[in-house]
Amino acid sequence: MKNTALAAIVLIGSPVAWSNPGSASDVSTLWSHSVRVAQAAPARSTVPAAEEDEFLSLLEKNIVSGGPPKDGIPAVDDPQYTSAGEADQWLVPEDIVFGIDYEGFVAAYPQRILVWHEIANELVDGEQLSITYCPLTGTAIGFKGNLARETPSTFGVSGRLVNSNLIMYDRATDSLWPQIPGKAIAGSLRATRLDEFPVAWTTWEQWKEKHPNTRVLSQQTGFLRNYSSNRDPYGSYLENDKGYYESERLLFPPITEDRQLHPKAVVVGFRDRSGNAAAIAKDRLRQEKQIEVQLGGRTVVVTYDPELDFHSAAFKDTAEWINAFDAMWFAWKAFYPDTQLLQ
Amino acid sequence: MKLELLVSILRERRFLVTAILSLLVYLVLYLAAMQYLTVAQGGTGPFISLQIVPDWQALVFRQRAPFLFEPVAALRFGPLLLFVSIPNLALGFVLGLLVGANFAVSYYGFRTLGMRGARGVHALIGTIPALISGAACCVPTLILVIGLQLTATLAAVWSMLVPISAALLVISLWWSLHRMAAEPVCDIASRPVNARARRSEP
Repeated sequence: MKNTALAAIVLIGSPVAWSNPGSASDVSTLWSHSVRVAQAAPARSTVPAAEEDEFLSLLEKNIVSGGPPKDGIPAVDDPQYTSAGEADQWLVPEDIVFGIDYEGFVAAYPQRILVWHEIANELVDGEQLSITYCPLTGTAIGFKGNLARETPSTFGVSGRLVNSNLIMYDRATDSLWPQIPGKAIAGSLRATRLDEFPVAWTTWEQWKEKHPNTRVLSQQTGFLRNYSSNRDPYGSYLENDKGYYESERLLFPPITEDRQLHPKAVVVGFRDRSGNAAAIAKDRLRQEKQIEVQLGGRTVVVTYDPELDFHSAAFKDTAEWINAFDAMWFAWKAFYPDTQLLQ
Repeated sequence: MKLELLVSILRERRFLVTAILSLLVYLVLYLAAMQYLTVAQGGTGPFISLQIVPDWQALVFRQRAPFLFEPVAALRFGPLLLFVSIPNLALGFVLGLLVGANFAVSYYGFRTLGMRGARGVHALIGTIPALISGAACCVPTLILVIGLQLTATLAAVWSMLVPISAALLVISLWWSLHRMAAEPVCDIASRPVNARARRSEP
């Protein structure tokens, strides 16, 4: 059945060529210019089909219910925004925000709002974008809704998890997409990988400093939640007692466990379309500022941006952008058991 | 028969007050466990305010988790913030009625019939699952505190805590009333109020 489904999927274009928003060594250029990303449909991985199929099946078998039903955690489908000045009345400088600067669309999505919704669907210049956040794996990733040619879609929260990671569903085909790999593990688009765009995990103070005219996701989400609280259902990034975010305990058992690092240690993870993956301990990147890593025979340059306490990454030979995002170590290792780790 | 006994117990003011107070305390605990009654941090709005979501008709019966429904209004009263979910208020009220009846009957058994021991604890035990279930707003963080990892079985049990609680409360109430109905005399008016007097009977 799965093989049939696989065979039925037509390869929808060559691997996406991400255009480089700035050189790999110049992160200020990256974040001060709109990011330009190729307008191509998602591509299939070049990992051997049998091996990939086996791993996708393993992920599918390890899907668990997170508790809420489908859409029990409601995505924000009609985001409203406020100005930075208005947001200052309810955000503190240390608040975590997920910032995007895409084609001139500059916006901050506060963690204290997105923790209740996990996905915000936004239309930018006719292009469907989804800003996604998984609290249990500490990952914020931007996805484009171009599932197939001329098949834009928004995403919702399936209520299910794998390796504690949010599983999204697309509203066009109902396929299931774990956030970290960004690849469908069930449904008609199985093995398809989504296009991504940069989302910066930073603080309100830093983002505002860099983008004083940013818009900020409003508390008028169409739903009622306690957005004013410094604590969310899992813990807090603002208080000394961080709860789940620093506890060694996990809520759901991952497929692979590894104790080289604290399970919740933050790593900067990146992977290519062949499934090669690497992770750098965030503290090491902060210290060394720029690190080169071999990934599938190519060199990736990861550059720290102190202004945002974030980073950018690109292949050294072509300056092609590659998404590198913060993640909790346990989750990265569970999705990429063969990952390199630079501690 | 048992219902008549319950009604006759609740006709006496002290037991009725016990039932109402228990209901109110339970309702507050239930809403607080769900974080639907909470303390608001910050904000510069008026002392009392009411916010209703624009699309409340579409959300009123939308489930966030088993037995947890979307709030459609937020009532702010000073530092207190109440999220109004109509199905959850109704659910909390029904469970609260059962809790109140349990406490009133236990109190009656203690004061009038001189029943002691674990009987009065029945009502408390019955409330615990429903309170725990309230913490399941997004993810059962209590699980983290307990130190377990969430398995499919545990998740299934968790989702059934509200009906389990209701069943425990009904069983507890029925059992208490059953025992009391079996007493030689169960007419409140004819019972000695002094428990010691009851115990001194041969």
